Amino acid sequence: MRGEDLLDEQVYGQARTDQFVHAQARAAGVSRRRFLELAAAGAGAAAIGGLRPRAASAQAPSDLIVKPTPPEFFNELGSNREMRWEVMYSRGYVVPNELFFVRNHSRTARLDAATWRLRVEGSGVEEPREFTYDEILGLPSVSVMRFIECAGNGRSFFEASYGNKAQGGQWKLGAIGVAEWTGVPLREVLDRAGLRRSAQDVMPEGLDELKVRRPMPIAKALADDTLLVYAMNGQTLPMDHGFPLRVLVPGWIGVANIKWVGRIEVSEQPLFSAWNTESYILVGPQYKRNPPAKGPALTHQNVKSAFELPWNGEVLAGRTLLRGRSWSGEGKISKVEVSLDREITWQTARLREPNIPRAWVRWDLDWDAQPGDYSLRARATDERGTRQPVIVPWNDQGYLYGAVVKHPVTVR
Amino acid sequence: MTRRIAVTVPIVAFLAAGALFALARSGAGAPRSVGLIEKEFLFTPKDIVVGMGGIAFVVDNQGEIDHNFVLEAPGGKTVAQIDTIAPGQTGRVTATLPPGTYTMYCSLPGHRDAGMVATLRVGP
Repeated sequence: MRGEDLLDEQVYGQARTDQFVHAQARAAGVSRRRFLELAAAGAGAAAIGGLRPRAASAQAPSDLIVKPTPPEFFNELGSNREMRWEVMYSRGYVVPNELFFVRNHSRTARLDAATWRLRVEGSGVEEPREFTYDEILGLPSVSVMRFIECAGNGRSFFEASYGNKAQGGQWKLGAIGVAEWTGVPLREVLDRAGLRRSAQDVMPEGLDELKVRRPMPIAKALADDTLLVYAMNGQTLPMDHGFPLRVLVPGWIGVANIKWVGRIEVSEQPLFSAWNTESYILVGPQYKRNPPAKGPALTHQNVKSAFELPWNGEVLAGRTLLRGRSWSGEGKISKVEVSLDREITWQTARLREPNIPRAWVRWDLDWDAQPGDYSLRARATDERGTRQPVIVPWNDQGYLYGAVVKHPVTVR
Repeated sequence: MTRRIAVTVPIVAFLAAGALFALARSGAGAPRSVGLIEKEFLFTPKDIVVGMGGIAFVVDNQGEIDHNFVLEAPGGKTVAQIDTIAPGQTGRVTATLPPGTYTMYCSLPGHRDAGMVATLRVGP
């Protein structure tokens, strides 16, 4: 084929596809036809090395999660999967879908968009109604970059501070991810159901086995970036992340971002569920009961930081670039400081754009690493002036560990 | 750190194969044993009858996610509980119970409503 033929976009595309298929089939030791059959069946990635060899190397041991969660990308925590921070060192701003952490209260729901419906009802709307998937896709939509973070992210560090394990999965800091979320502002749907001015609370409910549901005030439901999401990082929302539709409640704790949403209750009265009265509340010596809840209900995520390094891993001696990310549920990050000498001195890290509120900022710092064992620290301050503290009060369920974390590494 | 009404018994991991379903007397003086299986999202069996006195509850999580165990007396007071039973693990707790109808359930959010509840009838 002559080079000028490739200036035609269609010719160019077909030529490169043919070259790719030929090379992949040869590498896999199968015929071109067999390669295309496997790829069409969706088994190509798993069956053929070279396409996605790392991601396809291990499957979840059960049907709790749909996507592959290989140990080089994830720490397994029972039915949940924690992102390994070192995989983000060579990545951009968002966490790719295949690397995004998974926190399910039960199995990933397997739903059919053709039969799925979203029902909006309750005393807070005048015209209760249902929406089909296509109707949702046809509504005005926006895209935003925001984090979703489990309220228990960092829970394992309570044990280091207090000597006791808090209840729940012992996450380090990998129960967070930032993605580009595309969807319909929740208010667009509420308005179409005749939202009453007297509405107080809005409670999305999942179609999972437990019908996970948690309320939010009407003001949060009407925020510009509170969305009903159907796409994640430019792809159809994956099953593990809520297909066909999930809620995005920026800055709020992870459980508020209900997956597999099938019903939204809008009420003129305050709403409650087990997820804001029994769990996702603060119970501990410094917290009072808040009837009907056992303690204050959680709303915003707090300020945290993480290094893009393996936990208890190794770094080669010499000049290196330390990288990490910091985030806050209440705004942009204004400053990040790093200590390489157990908090004797602190250095200000360079913040790298973009720095998006309720997403995160990437940062880096030059380090002439000398051999030895280190306990690295990073502390961030957000635009409201909230800085990560040395210690946070105990709570039984281990939520919102926002204190500075001691990250162990060895330089060799 | 926890605000528990009843004594919380640490999880005792032991071989789960052949977990007890039926009630059994272990001999004079030994507590009766009640075997329960927890799975998403069921308790098996759903209805148990046992004589009053000391009862050892053996709760086997054969599911894939964490569960717990709460024993509630008539009137709603919690009289025994096991905090967390991980998949594949077994929890044990003993309680001395007067006659009455008790409720056993998993108190993790949504689990009871999804079916993880059973009845214990303690006779004279």
